[in-house]
Amino acid sequence: MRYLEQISIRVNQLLFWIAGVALISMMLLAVANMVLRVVYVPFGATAEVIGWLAAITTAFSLGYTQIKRAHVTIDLLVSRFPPRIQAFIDTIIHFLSTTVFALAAWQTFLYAAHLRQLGSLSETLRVPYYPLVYLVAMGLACLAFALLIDLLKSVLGVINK
Amino acid sequence: MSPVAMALIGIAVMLLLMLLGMPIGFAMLFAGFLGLSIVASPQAALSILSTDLWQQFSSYGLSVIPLFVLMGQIVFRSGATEGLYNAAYKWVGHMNGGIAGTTIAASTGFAAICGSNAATTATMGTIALPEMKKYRYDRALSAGTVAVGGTLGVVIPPSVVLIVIALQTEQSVGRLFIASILPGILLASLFLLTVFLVCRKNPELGPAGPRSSFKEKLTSLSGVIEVLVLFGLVIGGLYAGWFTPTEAGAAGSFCALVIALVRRKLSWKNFSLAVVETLRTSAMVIMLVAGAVMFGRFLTITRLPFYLAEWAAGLPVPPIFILVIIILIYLIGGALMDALGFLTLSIPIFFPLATELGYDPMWYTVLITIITTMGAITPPVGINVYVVNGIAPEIPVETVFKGVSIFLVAYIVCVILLILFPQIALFLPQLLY
Amino acid sequence: GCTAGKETTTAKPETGKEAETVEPISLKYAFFAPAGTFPAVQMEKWAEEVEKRTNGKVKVETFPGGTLLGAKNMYDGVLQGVADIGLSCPSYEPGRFPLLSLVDLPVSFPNAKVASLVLWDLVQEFQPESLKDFKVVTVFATEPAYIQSVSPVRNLDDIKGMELRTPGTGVPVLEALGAAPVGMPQSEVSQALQTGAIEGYVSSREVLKDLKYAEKVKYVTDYPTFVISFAALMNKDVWNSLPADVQKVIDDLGREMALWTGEYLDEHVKEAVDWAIKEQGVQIVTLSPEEKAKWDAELASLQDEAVEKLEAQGLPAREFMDRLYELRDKYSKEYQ
Ligand code: NA
Ligand code: NA
Repeated sequence: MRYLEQISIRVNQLLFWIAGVALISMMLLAVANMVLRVVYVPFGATAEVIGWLAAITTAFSLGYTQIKRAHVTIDLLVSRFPPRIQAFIDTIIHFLSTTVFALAAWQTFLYAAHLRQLGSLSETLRVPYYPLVYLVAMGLACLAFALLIDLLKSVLGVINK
Repeated sequence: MSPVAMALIGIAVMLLLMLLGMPIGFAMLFAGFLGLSIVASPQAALSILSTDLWQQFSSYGLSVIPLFVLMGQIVFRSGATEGLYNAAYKWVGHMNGGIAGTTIAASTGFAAICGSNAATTATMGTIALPEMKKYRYDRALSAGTVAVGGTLGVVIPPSVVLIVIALQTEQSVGRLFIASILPGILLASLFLLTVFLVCRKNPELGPAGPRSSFKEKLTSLSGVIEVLVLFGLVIGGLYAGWFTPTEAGAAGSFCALVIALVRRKLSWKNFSLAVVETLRTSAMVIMLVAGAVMFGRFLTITRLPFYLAEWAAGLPVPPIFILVIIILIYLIGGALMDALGFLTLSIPIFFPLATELGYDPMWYTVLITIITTMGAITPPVGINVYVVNGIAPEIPVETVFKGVSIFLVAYIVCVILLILFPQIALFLPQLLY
Repeated sequence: GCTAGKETTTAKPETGKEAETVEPISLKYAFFAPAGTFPAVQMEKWAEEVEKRTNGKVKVETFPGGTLLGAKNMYDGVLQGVADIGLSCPSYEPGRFPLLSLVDLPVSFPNAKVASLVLWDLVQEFQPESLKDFKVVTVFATEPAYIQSVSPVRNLDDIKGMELRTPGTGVPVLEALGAAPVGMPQSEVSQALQTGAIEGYVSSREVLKDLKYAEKVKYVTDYPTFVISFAALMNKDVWNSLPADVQKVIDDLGREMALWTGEYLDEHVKEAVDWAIKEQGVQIVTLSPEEKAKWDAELASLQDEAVEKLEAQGLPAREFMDRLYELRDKYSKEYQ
């Protein structure tokens, strides 16, 4: 269990780090494009590439955001219950969250494969963009993994408390 | 079962999940997914789930969010906000309640560059609470001031909430920003007025601080210049038309970074903290948006928004009563939920209704944003109140709520003025466009 | 995109006029752009006609404004049963509908009506492989896109390096003419024009009035470039489940809607251009015959390249293109 949690933290930290690089690249690309526009001609596919960087930025920060409990929650009601009931409710909630994001990750993998098979190209650059969809699927899978750890922890909470 | 009944059950399920502690974005996503599985088909729901997440995450429009949050974070981490606070203190600190007023003023300034409620509260709380404690300000007043000042983050542009609504309702982000400037200033002024009226009646709540010399006042301004320049550049450039919102966020972050580096105010550690906080905040916000979109798809397919809008529009009462009903719903929603969460969730239901009733979309957006934002300081879910309590655990939540309560009058006055004089929101956009 | 809900109120479904005791067949019809746009008007018209001609046996629920499906997931959403019918542009998913993409090359259609009829006939005659999982409800096209700019474009020197917003289809066209194509969402164009981030755009001309772009752009270069095709595609299983009489109504409407939409758009464009000229002082820039020949020469190779590429993939692109020109000339004579 502890071992699994360590893997989840490490993997999500790595993705989070890449998300940071994507964020800074996004800023630099937009600024560079503004400068280019003034001194020469702009890079026409800026919007497209920024969209891709934004996808990495978001998808790769989801898991670590979950680990750090930064998603907005209302804990008004649950915090008043006894610990064991809390753990029980947590188990249900984490089970549902894990399920929906595992499904999302799986479907996004399929979607990427579908785009690859169709030969879909991006609108401006006309290059295949399915690899980015795979990356988003990976981000979602890592979020599901982080949630799974939370689920296991709350199950242990029900048993131990 | 009729789709409309399904929609109502879907809303109930979503609220239940939220109350049981599921993150708001996840709850919307899950309820939307479940609802679509039943109303359409599991296959359809799975398809929407994956394609929508990809579309939201890779949306150029939503990329403004991380960029604006990054700008606010860099400014905060480089200490520029402290300078802003310091200057305001030098100018008005000698008056009764002056430091509380300073907090409002500094919140206003920070709100002008930061897009988020909780971030403004957290920032101002860290800086202002120790100061007010030092000068023996009343705990309730201090905490209330910080919490209420934080709500300006959403109202005064740039604001993530306004960006999200603009994208959701196909309004111009720039125009919506301009429309909310005067209402934001009005609200801030009403807060200031409240502080001074309260402290005039009970001077012991906010004892006067030391008087500063004119020279001290002037020198203090140097700490403000960088924030003002940045604000001028970003907002001015956006309005003057040098760049699009996404570019404004990028340019703002870049300039904040350059200023901080040139003035040697940003360590590598603080820079990475800024990036970390940005990623967390924007992942949280974009998850909210993605969840709301998914839930919106479900509501759309049940056609509930359509029937609801048709029902309310067909009520044999004047539009103003329907508006009052909407306002009451937003008061309750804002009290129960985070402003961004509730706004993104409810926009698909009420926005078409409001436009059908002939209300100006911009004015309406500003109005409901102010009303919902008020929810950040009201029980049961007052995000800002909890943030203040989180920063200063020695101030109990009840005390913060008590401190905040005196400002509710200011909010109500602001809303009434905005309804009576829509020009407060519409004047600037009409002037500039 | 995230335009949830906005347009639902304007998309009032027609209630079955002579509602029978049996539950009507319900069809969900989705489109990515708001209700006021011409493809959405077409969608409402189609819904109305189907309900009328089937005597209320079919009820069409329309979802414009991307409330159900967006531009990029429209056709996949139809395949997966999110909507029964989806209206989108095949060119928004480059690579997916190779043969159809030839219609979007700069082949000088005179107007939307001709382009729409040519597209319809080609789809019927060639039955492209990429459409085999769908039932084609109708197809139509915009009028050709024109260069609409803040400063006049009179020759290839004027356009050199000019930053023009274009849909993906126009990127190679603008590059061939020497301009700097910029891809951005329609929602950003107004602001980008205001800011000078772009110096104009390439589009059919109804946007001059519909989106008030004439307040910023003052010149329209009278050189027709590419059209944007639209295809309303139905889920094949849904199609197969429909009774024969309903299928017949929908089949009959296919070409009729192509014609109707082309006509509607041409009329609408004419109004918009008149308005732009009268109310906003927009000027039409005409190219000299020599200049036009130069432009044609720059663009000619685009078609050869596209055809060769698809031929290499084993698609009948040459035959398709030849037939396209035949049909274009035939309908141009009929509807100039
Ligand atoms: Na703000
Ligand atoms: Na509240």
